[in-house]
Amino acid sequence: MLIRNIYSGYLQISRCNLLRLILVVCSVFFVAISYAQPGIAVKDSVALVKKSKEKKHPFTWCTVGLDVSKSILWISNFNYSMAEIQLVSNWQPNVWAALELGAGKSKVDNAYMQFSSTQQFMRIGIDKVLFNAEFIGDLDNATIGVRYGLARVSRSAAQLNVVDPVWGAYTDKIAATNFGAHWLELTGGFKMQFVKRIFIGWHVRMKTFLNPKTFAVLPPNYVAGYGKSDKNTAFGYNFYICYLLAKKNARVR
Amino acid sequence: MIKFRSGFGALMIICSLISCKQDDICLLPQTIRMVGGFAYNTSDTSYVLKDTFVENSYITFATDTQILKNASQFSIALSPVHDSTRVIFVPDSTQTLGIVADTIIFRHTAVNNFISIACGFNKFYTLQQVQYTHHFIDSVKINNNSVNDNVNTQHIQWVLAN
Repeated sequence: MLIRNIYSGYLQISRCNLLRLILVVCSVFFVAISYAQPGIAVKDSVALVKKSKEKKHPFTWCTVGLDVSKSILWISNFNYSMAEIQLVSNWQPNVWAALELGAGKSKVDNAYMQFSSTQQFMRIGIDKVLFNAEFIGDLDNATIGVRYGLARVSRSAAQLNVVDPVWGAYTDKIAATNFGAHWLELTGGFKMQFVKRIFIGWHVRMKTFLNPKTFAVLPPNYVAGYGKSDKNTAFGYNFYICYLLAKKNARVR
Repeated sequence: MIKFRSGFGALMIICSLISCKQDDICLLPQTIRMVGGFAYNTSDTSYVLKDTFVENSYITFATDTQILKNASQFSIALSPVHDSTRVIFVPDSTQTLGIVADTIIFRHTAVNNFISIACGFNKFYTLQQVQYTHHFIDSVKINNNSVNDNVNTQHIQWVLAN
């Protein structure tokens, strides 16, 4: 009986709570390894040099990142799933250029309506680096940035079910359609090297639609890259694991 | 660098503890109602309306019946599946034999209005025309023909015969 109760409790964990659990575990893990490896600090201090005079050669390195938090959704069986990758490269000494691409799908299947949608999106923007490099090739940093997001949304025909307390139940339909969405984002984030060429990164985002009227008829449950599309302002986060690609003469670790 | 990494982890913990909002519960009313008020004409020569109330009346439409005791206002759920709604107005609910009533027919159009994923849809209406009998009703005035989720609007006035 106890096992059955535990198992039923496990099944009742919501998607949000599952993500919270994963993030807390990841957070504790990364904080723990930070303190468990004093050698890193020593190595950093040894490598500390005068302020890096990075050459103004753009695009000498690039990180390719996978949004792990969204990938968990992708392999799960929730009503919303998406995958996202991020490309970041040095554009100016203290400005990084970012390109983010992804796709997703969502469905609504409740007592009132049933429909599904697919989306593809891209975001382009820049990140301003907040701190000076502590040594040559140091890419660990915090950033603030802006993004312009663009998505193509394909929505299936929707079946509507309404139960009117006075007039009784009735049904209606809304035709399938394709439309575009675009939005602006403010971002804040961190990126730090985990092991050689491997970085982890975190972004929080505030987003606002530039064409909210497009969603007035029937918004999808989620729009990949944006979030809940029945809100004109949305907040989101990403947790990236990135791999560093660099030119031979690039001054990176 | 350790501070930086610790801060990084702390930020993740803070962000991960952002409360989960339960967004699949519908707390909004799903039925749009047309609001009406009672009035009478204070002038024999012109059209000057003043609000009034009915002491013991009722109105009925579809499966709904509203008893109006000392009521100055009433509300009617328009039909979401037909383009007209018929309302019966009985000014004296104590009347049991030989009931005399007025019939009011509202002709309207309706469009789907998205409320939310959790609540689904309802209908917004546009009043086109009103037809009525004249036993107790002098006239029906349309103040606002858009019947939507603005609950502070009085859409019609029933002007009672003197």
